[in-house]
Amino acid sequence: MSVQESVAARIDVHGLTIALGGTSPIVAVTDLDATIEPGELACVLGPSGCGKSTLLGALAGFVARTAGTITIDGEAVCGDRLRPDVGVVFQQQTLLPWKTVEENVAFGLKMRGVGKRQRRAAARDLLAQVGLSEFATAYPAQLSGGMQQRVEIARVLITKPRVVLMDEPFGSLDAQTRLAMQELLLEVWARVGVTVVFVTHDIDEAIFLGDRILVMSQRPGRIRQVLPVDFARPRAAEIATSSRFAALKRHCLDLLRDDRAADASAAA
Amino acid sequence: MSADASLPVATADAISGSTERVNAASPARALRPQRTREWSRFLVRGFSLVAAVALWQWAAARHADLGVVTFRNVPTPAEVARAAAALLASPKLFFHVRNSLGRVLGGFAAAAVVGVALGLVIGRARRARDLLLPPLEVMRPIPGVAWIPLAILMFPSSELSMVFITFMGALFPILLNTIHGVEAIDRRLIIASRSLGARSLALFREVILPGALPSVMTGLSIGMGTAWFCLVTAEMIAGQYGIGYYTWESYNLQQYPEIVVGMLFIGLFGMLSSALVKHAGALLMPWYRPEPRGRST
Repeated sequence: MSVQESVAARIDVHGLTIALGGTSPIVAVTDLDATIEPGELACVLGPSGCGKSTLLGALAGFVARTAGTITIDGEAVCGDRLRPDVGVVFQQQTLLPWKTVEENVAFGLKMRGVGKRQRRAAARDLLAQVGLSEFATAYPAQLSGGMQQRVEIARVLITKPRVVLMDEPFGSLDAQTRLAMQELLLEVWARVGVTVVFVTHDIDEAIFLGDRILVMSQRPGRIRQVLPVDFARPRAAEIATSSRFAALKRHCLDLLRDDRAADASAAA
Repeated sequence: MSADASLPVATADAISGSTERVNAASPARALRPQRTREWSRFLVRGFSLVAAVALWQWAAARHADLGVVTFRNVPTPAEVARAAAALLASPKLFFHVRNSLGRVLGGFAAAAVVGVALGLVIGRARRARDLLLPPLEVMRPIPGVAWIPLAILMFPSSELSMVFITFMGALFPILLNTIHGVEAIDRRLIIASRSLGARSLALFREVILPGALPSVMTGLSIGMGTAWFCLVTAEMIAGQYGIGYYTWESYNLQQYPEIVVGMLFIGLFGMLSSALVKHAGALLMPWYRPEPRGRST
């Protein structure tokens, strides 16, 4: 098994404001500050519609900023320009249906002009790492949802990005598959050592995966609190039954609920 | 290490896939009754076909007159079969088929090239859409057949005018389906591909073109049908040789069985060319609605 030599990057966000839509814009994110350390797995937790996907889109460079700055290793992220060292995994499957699993995984290298034999070898290697070697010649439609997400992860990692952004990647999977995918992600991340920003609305998922949890407020989104999660790694699914896990979960729930209460009183 | 971690994933997938396996097992058990059911359906369909021919034979042989429609001049199936045998043996058949095929393929190929190229550009670029689509939208409701008189006036050779009419007939289904195919591509596929480094030309080749292909193939197969339809009509008016011409000439010469032979040939060639387009589509798109396989491993 080969070791990937991607260098993890640091992300700094200062005073980020994003207004979406033309004539009557909706402020999705307002005056948001955050720092994500190199090699960290940071979970962004928030209720649906709080602007966490918008934040991720801005980090990836396909959502334009209204104000504020985003830098990756000191280099500014420009709106509408995608960075080659940032990989994105989406919730819905975005594999190309007309390419085999192997061709999908090798796609990023093909776009960088890497030769056929070399990108094939790299794709095979990554497919082995996500346990899908036998499905190299299958088409995406022939795989289950969990398998498709594993291909998505392999596809993003092949270009050795320094940041991987994940937008509720396991949101549409059943509970059992989701748990297996979380364990797989932790294992691959431990090996690759890339910076991961993982957006989710699932508190358990955020606690199980994250080094830190960035809890977002309701829209317009900002970071409400940053919670360190200090469970030792490698983590096993059993930690979910520990009292510390329960305490953290209660705290997260309170944060999300408080926010709603504050929102309701403000409206009244 | 990865084998251990991927193990629970494999089991989880196996669990989610288990319902399909149960479904897959039941037809195997029910294979025998289903096969006999298939046979009986086959027999019923065969009977229906034979009955239709028998009805035709009966009506034509008795010169049945139903008031609104009369079978007085309709040839019997036996007469048609004799005329077909005569045509098959005749050296003229080759010229008829060659002329018709040449015209259809010429018009269809030109329509495919123009329709797909224009469709891709119009579907992708708003400026091209505004620039090119309005005149095409005006011409779209005009059926290819309505072009016949003007086409004869416009083209010095009747041969070219017939190719043009087939071209007009095939163009719009191909064009509109290509535009639709490009527009219907999932935007998330484009964003994901761009985030993996696909730029304009590569994006076009790797994502837009294959993404639009199913719809393009639908357009081509509809276009093939309309091309034949327009060709036959054009040949009746402007042709020398050709299956449509043969059919119309037979009417003028009062060779009634030959009319039906011409009709059958037109149907046969239309069907064959549609099958050809469908087959090409299956070859070009092995990923399109493939049978699920390899799930159980």
